[in-house]
Amino acid sequence: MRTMTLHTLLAPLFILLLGFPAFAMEEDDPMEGVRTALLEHQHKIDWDKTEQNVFIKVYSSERTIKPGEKIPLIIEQIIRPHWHTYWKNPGDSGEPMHADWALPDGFKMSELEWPTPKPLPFEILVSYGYEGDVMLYQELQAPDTLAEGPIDIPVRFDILVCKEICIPETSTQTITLNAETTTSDLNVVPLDFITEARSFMPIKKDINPWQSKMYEQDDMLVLDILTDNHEAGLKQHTLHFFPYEYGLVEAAAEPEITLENNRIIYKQQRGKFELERIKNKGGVFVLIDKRTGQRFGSEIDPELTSPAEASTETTTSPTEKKTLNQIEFESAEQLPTNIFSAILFAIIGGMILNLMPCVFPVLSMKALSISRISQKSKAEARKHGIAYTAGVILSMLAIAGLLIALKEGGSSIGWGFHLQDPVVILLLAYLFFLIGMNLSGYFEFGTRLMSIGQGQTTAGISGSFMTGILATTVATPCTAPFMATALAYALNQPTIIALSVFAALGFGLALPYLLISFVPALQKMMPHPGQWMVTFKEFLAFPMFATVIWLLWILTQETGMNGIATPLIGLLGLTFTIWLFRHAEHANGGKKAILMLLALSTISGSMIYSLYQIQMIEIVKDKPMPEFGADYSAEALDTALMTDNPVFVEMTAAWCVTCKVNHYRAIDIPETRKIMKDRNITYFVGDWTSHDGEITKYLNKFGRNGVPIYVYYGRPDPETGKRPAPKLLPQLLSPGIVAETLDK
Amino acid sequence: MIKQSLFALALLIAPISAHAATEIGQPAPDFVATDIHGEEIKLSDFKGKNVVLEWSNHQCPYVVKHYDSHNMQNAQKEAVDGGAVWLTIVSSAEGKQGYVSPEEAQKIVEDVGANATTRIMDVSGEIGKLYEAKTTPHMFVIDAEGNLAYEGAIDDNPSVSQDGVEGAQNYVLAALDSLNAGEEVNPAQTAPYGCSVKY
Repeated sequence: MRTMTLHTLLAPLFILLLGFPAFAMEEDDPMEGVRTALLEHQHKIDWDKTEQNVFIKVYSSERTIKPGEKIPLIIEQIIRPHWHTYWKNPGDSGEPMHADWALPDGFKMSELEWPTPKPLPFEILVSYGYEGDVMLYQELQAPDTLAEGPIDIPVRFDILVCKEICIPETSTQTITLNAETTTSDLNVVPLDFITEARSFMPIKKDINPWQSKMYEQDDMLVLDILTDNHEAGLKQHTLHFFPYEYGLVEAAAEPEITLENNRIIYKQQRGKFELERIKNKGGVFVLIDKRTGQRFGSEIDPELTSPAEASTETTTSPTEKKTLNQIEFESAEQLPTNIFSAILFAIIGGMILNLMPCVFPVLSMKALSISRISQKSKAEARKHGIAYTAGVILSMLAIAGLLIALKEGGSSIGWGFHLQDPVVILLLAYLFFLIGMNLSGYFEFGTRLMSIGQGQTTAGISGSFMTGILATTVATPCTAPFMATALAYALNQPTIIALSVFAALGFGLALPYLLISFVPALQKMMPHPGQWMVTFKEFLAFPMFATVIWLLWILTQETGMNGIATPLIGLLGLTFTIWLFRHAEHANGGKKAILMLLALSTISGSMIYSLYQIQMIEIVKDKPMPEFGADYSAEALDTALMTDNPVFVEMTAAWCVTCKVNHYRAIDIPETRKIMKDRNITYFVGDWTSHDGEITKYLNKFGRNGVPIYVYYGRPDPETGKRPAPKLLPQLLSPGIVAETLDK
Repeated sequence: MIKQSLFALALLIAPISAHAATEIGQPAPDFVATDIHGEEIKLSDFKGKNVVLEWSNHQCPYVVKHYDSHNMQNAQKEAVDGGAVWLTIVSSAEGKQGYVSPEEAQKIVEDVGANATTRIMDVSGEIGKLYEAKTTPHMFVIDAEGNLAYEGAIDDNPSVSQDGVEGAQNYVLAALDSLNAGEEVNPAQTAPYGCSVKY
């Protein structure tokens, strides 16, 4: 594939500038009742052929239990479409499922754990419960001494299932453990199944970083919750509180919700019972995604306070921050991203920014001027270094503030997905083309801008400060394609964290020059300015043009070949406009006016045409087949996992440079191909270039919200028939890492 | 910005839910209704007597549990024999489960051998909403002064299984006993259980 090869050539350049893997800001939609691939299984029910409205299945990852051991159980309710069952507090009406286990002596069963419920409105009442499929969790513990032989445990489930009418149903089953062969009602599933089912549980209160308190005010229950979510993220959700006990709030009363940054003030009419009477005043606070209906529950145990106390306390942020995405991480039992590592990466990222072709000319001149000053006075050089650093950091913060303000204003955070939007890619291509034209000397507009930095070096400390601002301003648009995904991630954090990350980025950007101004040895190493700098600047135009090619390549990945003519027409318009301007500059009177008019109409015509046209082109969904390996689909993966062959999954995207580099360096190479062939490894490639929900789900399962991801599923154990836990490969691959993982 | 203004506007015009009309110790809201025999029933006419309100729906499994086991009929008999008025109220809207014509309702009363004073078809759901009746059965006990004395479940066994009827503590009978003995009703409020009222 030609385009791939082209990309391979470009990739090493960009990986230098990347520094961050790509992140995405959106979760995808395991809609109500629609289960992820792993949970989809053999129990298909033909509802027309049965009177029953709910089927109950018991699952475990174990078929045996040892003395003293605990084994996980999943109890699944498969509910007839449009019918519902109830949460442990059923709300205004209904009854939760009861599981009555006839446990043998010494066995213990933990309390039922319930997944995040949803409100079930019916006329003027609201119940709490579930539709579709529900998975509850319980743990069985064996006594310390256990006789040989099979263990039968009978269980009776009593469950109320309702549509408009309610029907109580009963299911009696017997699960058998430690038996050679068994006709038990226990369904044995991979551990993944259990893990995934548990990911629908609310976050436990002991690991939930939210701080909450409650008080009564004018017959309302007020919940004051400090979340770790950003206001913009919260706004994309419907918020709902599900109390554990009856009588705390009126389930059917519409809550009044106020958001202040990461703080939620949730007011709902008080229920019938006095507060003292309600033993457990906690509950599950649920964010329901307005688009997808996906629910994120967090257990809260609010501290009881009074309105007066609540108002005097200041709003402080929880020390540990997580985004909505990370809530999902947590539920998949993954570690949250550490703020310190985010800051460290931002500093490194900032340093890498210095190498950006559009920043380099400005900054190299700055470095030279600093070294020139230092020949006169070392103290002076230091002052310049500090002023420059301050300029960079402050303007970085200003930009961050602006972005945060924009994000607050509009509810959509399209920023993170910017490289999936053809319009953004097109605009970036134009921008890079203009910078390239400028560097190559075709027009002079930007050079004048750059010379401000140079000219003012002798003007004093304020000049250095200005250069810092200039560096940031010039660097920002250039960094967009490479840094924006990571920055958008930072932006999704609470304001103070986002600002810290941006400040760290600025510090990183300024760091090399700060060092030069402080370390005389480095100053001596600086070359002398001269004609070579102009030549070098012209040379730097080529990486810019290469970037344009890369952006257009991404565009064609999304729009197909139809998408290529449009941007080229736009580029033609741009070039022609510049040419017209150049001539207008030297013309006079009427001729100048005509040229200017022509230039303006050309630029507006070509821009309007191309930006309109690019949106009209349908995004091509059918991706060309990967060169080797099969297209990923959840179903295909499941089928492959049923076999005894090892499975390797790669998730990639056209705009993800790391992904491409990994692919051509470590996967699509003869050695890896050979290993895959020899060991019968089933290899799947998923393409996330345009938004693909199935892949997002898969990523979430591993606590990721971005590509690349590489997962290896080893061969099943010949004795137990179970596969070892899937092995996650690092995000930067080497042929050695791949070979070592696959050849085991 | 527009979105935020709309949101604020939505908050302003959102219906403000009325405060709970029923509160323990406070006067129970009065109502006038026609029972299944065509008689006019006015709650305030029963001043001087304890009144039990029972929300019902003959098809709801929880109601069925209490009638099949004769638990409800026995309670009704005990209450009425003790001088109380027992009104069974069906708030099922027309076309919803539990809705029947007055004639059919009379037949149901006969078939199950109900011992309530009378039965009211509250088709509009007005009485149900006035009392915020949530479930069937949802029980209310009003004292001789017309104040609400008890509200909630019929007993402490919220299940559909008939095994649980025996040995369960009947909150309604306990409330009536306390009222007759001049004692404080305890508990005066419990969580009602059952099917939702089919408004």
